[in-house]
Amino acid sequence: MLLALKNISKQYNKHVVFSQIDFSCDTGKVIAIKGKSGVGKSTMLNILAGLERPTSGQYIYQNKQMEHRSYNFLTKFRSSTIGYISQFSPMIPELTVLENISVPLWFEKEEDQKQQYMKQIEALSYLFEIEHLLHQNVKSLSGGQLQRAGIIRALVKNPPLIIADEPTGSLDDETASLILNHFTSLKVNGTTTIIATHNDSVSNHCDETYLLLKEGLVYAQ
Amino acid sequence: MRIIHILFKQGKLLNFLNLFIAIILFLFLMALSINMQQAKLEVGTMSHFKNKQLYKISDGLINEEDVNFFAKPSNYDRLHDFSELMHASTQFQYYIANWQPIGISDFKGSAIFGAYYELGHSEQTSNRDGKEYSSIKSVQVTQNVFDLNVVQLQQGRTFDADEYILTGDNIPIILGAEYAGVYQLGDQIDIDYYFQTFKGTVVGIVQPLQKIVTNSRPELLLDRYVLLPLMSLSDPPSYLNKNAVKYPVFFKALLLTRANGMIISELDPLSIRKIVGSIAQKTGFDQFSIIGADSLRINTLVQMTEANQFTLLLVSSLMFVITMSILLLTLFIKTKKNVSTYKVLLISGATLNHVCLMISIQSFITYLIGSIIPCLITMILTGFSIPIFLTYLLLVLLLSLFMTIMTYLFVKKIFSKLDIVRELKG
Ligand SMILES: Nc1ncnc2c1ncn2[C@@H]1O[C@H](COP(=O)(O)OP(=O)(O)OP(=O)(O)O)[C@@H](O)[C@H]1O
Ligand SMILES: [Mg+2]
Repeated sequence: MLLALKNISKQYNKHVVFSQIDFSCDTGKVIAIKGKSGVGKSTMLNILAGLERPTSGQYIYQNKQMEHRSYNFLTKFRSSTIGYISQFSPMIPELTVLENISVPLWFEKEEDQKQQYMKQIEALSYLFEIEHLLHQNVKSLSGGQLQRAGIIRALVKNPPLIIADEPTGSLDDETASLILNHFTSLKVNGTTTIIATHNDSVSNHCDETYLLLKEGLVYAQ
Repeated sequence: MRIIHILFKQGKLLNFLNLFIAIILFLFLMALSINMQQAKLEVGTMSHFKNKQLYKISDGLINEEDVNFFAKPSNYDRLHDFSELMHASTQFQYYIANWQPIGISDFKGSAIFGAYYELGHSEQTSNRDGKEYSSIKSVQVTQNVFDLNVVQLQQGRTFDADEYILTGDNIPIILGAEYAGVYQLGDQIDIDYYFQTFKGTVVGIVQPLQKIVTNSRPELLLDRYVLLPLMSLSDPPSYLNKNAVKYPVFFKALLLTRANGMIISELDPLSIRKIVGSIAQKTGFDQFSIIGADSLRINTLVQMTEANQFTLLLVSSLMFVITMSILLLTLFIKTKKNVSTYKVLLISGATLNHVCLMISIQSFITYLIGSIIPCLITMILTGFSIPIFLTYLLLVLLLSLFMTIMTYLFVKKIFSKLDIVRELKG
């Protein structure tokens, strides 16, 4: 088992988003989390990514308790373990696509590693068909192109866990399946992907689908 | 470093605005630190003269009258008595700082000490008793000059009370700050003062930038001056003259110098006229006039230095408040504008605290850069004065640090308001 949520609840002030979520997942799986808008899918993913802490309950990642860790620790955890893809890939407007994609490498010290990651960027940009845009400013890109750049940025360091919040929202079906197939292809290296989505065609690509409700998380198929 | 680089690229106009404001702020800080170093002394000094009336005694012994007057030996005594009573008065202070070059033989200092160096004249020399004497800047002072101007020494002591009385050939001397390293305490110097040779002994060295009011100017910088006590005669000159025939010129000059002083008092002109008149009557010397001297000029000078300091402090504080507001405003605008940058950093391996820190460091760097130009100007204006530089540096560091901490706290506040993590959820 790679990770588990045990009896997790999250509330903001008095507003309870969800409570008593139990969830576990194995290494090398692609998992979809579905649910109505506002039910807390993004919040759950943020907890998994260490961007937020649950109000109560336990988060165990590879047998380590995560829920009480400091944001400093969680940031290191995220940097080394998680590729985070958000619905609208944020970009630094002053930089080129390539520079934006290589931001995770700023926090990398070893030069050899960096070289390797740069090769990875090159390969992925060919795969996702934005190699011709790498040296353009991000402002000149379309939403779908930005999304692909954001996905590459999340994958640069070969993270064992990919957290993707509506990753294909702004992509056409063809590109969307290209991306989803890539996630599937990563399974052989033991990469796990957790995707929040509204879209059935996305969940059809996944090994397991869960439905998030206010009262908890249920297995759907 | 990459992050700071990006931060500088973002909102260039706002960054330049910040830099510009920082430069202006530090220009005022510079003026303030120069002023603090100098006006501190000046106000301290000048305030002793504030609200006091100044009168000058000017003898009327010109040309023929001079010759006629000194033709009579008894007149030496009259002049002597007059001066002594003036100096002894309890109703006013009789103040003399007399600008009069002296000769020094075998002079070790450079040309800057020459009597007329500032006027562009080269060194002047004269011969006495077979020795060559260089003409050197000097003031002869009464004891109250040290007190009223709050003259600070860096070494040694001021003159003792009995050293203001002429006895023999020995005379103590105090040197201006620039003499440090040229002569040392205890050094013996041959002096020619009013055609009379003396053995001078260095007893003190003045601190830099010390100023005094002299009989002819509102302020004189002592750095390049030799100070001598303005000596009084121990006995009536007629008595002394009998024993030493060769002194008359010296006595005459000394007596005239001692007679032509400044009266410092709170009394009105009429009372002064009465008191001085009675001294004239008692001593039989009345060939002088009382001039309402530069009290106005000195008062203005006092007010100016005080006003300067106050204005500078006021303007600097105002600038500080403006800088602060602009800094916070630009930070607010920039931070709101750059949210997507922070999102990228957040999901790529930086904590928001780290980003906060980077933004604060950016402010710090901006302020340090902004301080360089005023610093250069300071150094040039003050001839690389270390104390002023240090004062300035301290002010810059304190202020930049303060601004940096403010930036950190403020950005943190903005971040928590913006809730960037929530923004990520779309
Ligand atoms: N930082 C926050 N502070 C307060 N309330 C929040 C915060 N983040 C989320 N919420 C609230 O929690 C609820 C769940 O939000 P979340 O974004 O997780 O839902 P979601 O399932 O991802 O919705 P969508 O499908 O529209 O993306 C919403 O009602 C939202 O307003
Ligand atoms: Mg969401």
